[in-house]
Order: sequence, then structure tokens, then C-alpha cells
Amino acid sequence: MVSATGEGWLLTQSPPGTLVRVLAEGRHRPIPERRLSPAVWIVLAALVGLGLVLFLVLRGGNGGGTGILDGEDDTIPAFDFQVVKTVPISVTAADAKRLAGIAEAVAGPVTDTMTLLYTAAFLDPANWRDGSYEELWPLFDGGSQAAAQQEGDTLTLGTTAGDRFEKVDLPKGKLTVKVLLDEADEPATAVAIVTFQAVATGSDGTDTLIVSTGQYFLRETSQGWLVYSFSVSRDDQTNVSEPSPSTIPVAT
Amino acid sequence: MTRRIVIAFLALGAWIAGSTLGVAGPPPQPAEARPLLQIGAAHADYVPAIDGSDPIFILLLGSDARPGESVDGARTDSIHLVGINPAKHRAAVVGFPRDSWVEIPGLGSQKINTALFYGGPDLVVATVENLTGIRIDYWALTSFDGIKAMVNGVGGLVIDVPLPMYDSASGSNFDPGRQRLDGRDVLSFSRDRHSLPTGDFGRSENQGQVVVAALAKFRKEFASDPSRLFTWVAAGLRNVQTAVPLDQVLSLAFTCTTIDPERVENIVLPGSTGSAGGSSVVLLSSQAEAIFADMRADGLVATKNLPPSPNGLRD
Repeated sequence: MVSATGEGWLLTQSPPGTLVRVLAEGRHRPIPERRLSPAVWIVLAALVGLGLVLFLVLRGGNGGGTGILDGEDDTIPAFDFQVVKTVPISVTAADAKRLAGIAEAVAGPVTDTMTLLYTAAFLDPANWRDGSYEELWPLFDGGSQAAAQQEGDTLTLGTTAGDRFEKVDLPKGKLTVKVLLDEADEPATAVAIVTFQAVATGSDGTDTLIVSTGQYFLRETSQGWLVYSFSVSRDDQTNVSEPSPSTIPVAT
Repeated sequence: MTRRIVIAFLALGAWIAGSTLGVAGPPPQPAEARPLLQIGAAHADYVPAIDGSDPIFILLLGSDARPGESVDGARTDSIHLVGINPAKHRAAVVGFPRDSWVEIPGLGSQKINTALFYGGPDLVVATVENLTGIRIDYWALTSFDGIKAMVNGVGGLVIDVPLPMYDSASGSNFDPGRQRLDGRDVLSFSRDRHSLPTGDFGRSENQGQVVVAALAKFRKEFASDPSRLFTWVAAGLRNVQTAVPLDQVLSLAFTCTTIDPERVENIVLPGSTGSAGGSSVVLLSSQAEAIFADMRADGLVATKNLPPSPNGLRD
């Protein structure tokens, strides 16, 4: 037996000289060598691999999100709006073809804003699980911000979405961008005409097709292109199968 | 031995992959779509209209310049003061008979339609402000060609023609009743005074009707397709002179979407025909001052102060 004190190692109740003899010999007596068969190695490797996979799947393998064990998946479905058409409208009699490039340059940041908006409003589980969409509101400018918050249940998946849905996936969205150009051919404002849908799955396995259509007026600010007016409708439908690409209406 | 290990690993990998995808992959889809059930119809909108209780005053001017002539160097065939009450979502359109005998700042008493010739839109604004005691926020000036192009730019207007109108001078050729008019027809309708029993009074009322019809159509189109606002703003600005910046035009346009055209009073200042300066003029009645007082308060005209309709629209 060995115990430690402030003064060093002491031998207590041990056969005299045992530890000294071991230290002096340098090692215990040799242990007979044992070889594992290949089958054992395979099983061990398989168990380790299986354990790793199950750990990732069940706990959530995407950057620390929660997984199946928790009944939640915090993965944000990949989504980008598809621009169907860009239309320049000038307050002068300028040739529309000449202005097309200016309008297309505006369509890029407008589309980015709308993609951010719909991702935050419908697709990010971190938002809809809690029914809190704080990152959405700064995309609205001026008086539209307070109005958007008041209309949150229409503009987002809703404050009770976390109680109703387990998952939102299969997002699809198309938009047309119209750009109003001033007398100097500078973009003054734009409107995004949007169609969006995604499938929200409830805990009972029921699918709900989330359908949002509307128009958002945007203007350029120091924070980028932000919404200042909107007219948006929701037309959700349940008991649906996965939407085919042809079912999504084209924004005009 | 090595080969057996590799095969075993491959088999194991396939099993793990299959199991994993079976757990984490997309849920199996039904073989065919079941009937749709609408469960969540809702609508949300916000319009950045000018709010508050302060009325907005816009002076609409129509020049009688012929094609090729200077628009602001001619006389005004139409002068309308539009008062908008944003809080009440109402408005008033008040027509000034073109021959109204009024004080033009710096020029003395003259027919009001000469102010544009002498001093452009600014002098017309000063004249109306002097007459009414109302501060004008915005003005817009258009021409014969401008009217035609604007109306055609928005696809025509539906006008309720109050009386039979057949006049070769203006080109009017209308039976009474609601009808869709293109730009040329709207111009004829707005210019014709010979077909109307009350002459220029009736014409001014018809011009106000065009304003209200435009508002009705704009509002209807905005409700079904808000992006049409750009079309209207562009059609307007291409064909008017105005000092209003585009952002304020947009603000006004959004505000107009909140105005119910059914609650817009379209009136013409009452007066009588007289003689002054060697010509026939309109002498505004004392009721005009009551109308101005109403408008100064809230941009609107009280029912008790509504003058008779020259074309019998309110009878």
C-alpha cells in the first residue's frame, strides 16, 4: 500500500522491499503477447464507425445543432429566389432596352433582401421554433417595420409554428423585379413580386404547403435595399404531396 | 485476409450508409397528391401614406398650349385645387372657372387663366394662395398632349358622361352614360364647353370628374397589383411639369391609394357672369369664401357648403 504525505512516499503495511524491488527491476515480469484476429478488428472498427455515425445523426451533425434525439433539426434549407423577369420603368421616355442593365443591377440586391427575408420568416428553425423573428424586422424600413411586426403571423410562419411543425423544407420561390428610374436614369425604388412556397411537416406527419404571394416595395438605404411597403397574402394548404416544379405560379 | 477485410468494410459501410439515409433522408412522399385543403388564407399590407391631420393641397393646372407651344407660356384652361385629408381618407376637387376675375399678385385684377402666361405656375400658385388663404403644397402642369398621353399610358379611363356632348370644336361625340374613353376622348370631354348648358362651369366639373375617375382606376389597379403604381407615376411624370421630387410623388401616390373616390367631392366655385376690363368674366360668389374656409380647416368641403352641380351630378 502506498500513501502520500507532505513528506514523500511512504510504504505502509506492505511486505518490506516490494516497491523497491519493482523499481529496481525496472518492469514487472513480461506479459505473454496476445494477437487479435482480423475479425475482431473488423467488429471493433464497425462498432466505432457505427457509433460515430449514430452520434452525428442522433445528436445532430451540422454545426452543433440538435438532432433526432431531441426531435429537432436546426438545418436551414438551402434557398434562393429565382428572378423570372426584371422590368425597368422610367419617368422619362428613355428606351427601356437601354435601361435594362440598370434594372438588372438592382435586381441582385433586391433578390438578396427577399431571400434573407423569406429565409428568416419561414425557413430558419431557430426563428420559427421559438416564434421569434427578430432578425427579420430590420429588413423593413420606416413605418413598415412596426406594421410588419403587427402582421407577423401573415408575414412569417407564425408565433406558434414551433408547436405545429417539426420541419420546414422544399422551399421554392420566384420573383419579378420592377425598377422605377428617375429622370437621371437612377433607380429610385423597386418592387419585388414574389411567389414562395415550402412544405411544413407537423409532428403527426401531416404536410402543410406554405404559400406566400405578394409585393414588396424596396428602396436603397445605408443598410442596403429595404422594404418600405408590402401587400402579402398567405394561402396555406394542407394534405398535400411534395409540390412539383410546375405547381409554383410564376411571378408576373 | 486483406481482401476479406476490405469486403467486410465495404459491406459495413453500405449498411451504415443505407441505415443513415433511411433515418435522416427526406420522408417518403405519397404516391399521389391528396386533395388540397386551404387552411390559412390571410392578407397583410402596409402603405407608406402621408398621415396626420394636416391636409395636403395640390394645384392641378391644364395649359391650353397647342402642340409645339410653350406649356407654361399659355393660359390655363383648367385650374383645380385638390385638398386631401389623409386622416379621413377623403378629398375635395375644387374647380376654378377660367374666367374668374381675381387679384393676381403684382398685376392687379385679371382673369385667373392669365396668371400662367404672365408668371408661370408659380404665379398661378401665388394667385390661388392669395385668393383662398390656402398654402399650396404641390403643383402640376400638363397640356393637351400630356392629357392624352397620360390617359393612354394607364389604359384609358371610365367616365360617366353626364349629358349628350357633341361638339366639333373639341371633338366630343358622346352619348350620356359610363364609358371607357381613351386619351383623345378624355381630352375632348375635358375641353368641350359648348355642349354644356353651364358652359365653362360644366366643363370644369367634367375636368374634376376626370381627376376622380383617374383616382378610382388607380386605386382599383393598386389593390389588385400594387406594382401598377410605378406605371401610373411614370405616365404622370412623363407628361407633366412639376417641382415635386420623385420621392414625394411616390409618397403622394401611396397616399392617394387610401382615398376613397366615392368620398371625393367634385365641385366648381359658384359665381355669376359679369363684365370687367372690357370682357366677360366670372365673379365668384360669397359662397366661395365659405368653401375656402372649409378647406383651410381640413382640406374638405362641408356638405352644407357644396354648391349646385353645373351638370346636375348631385341632383
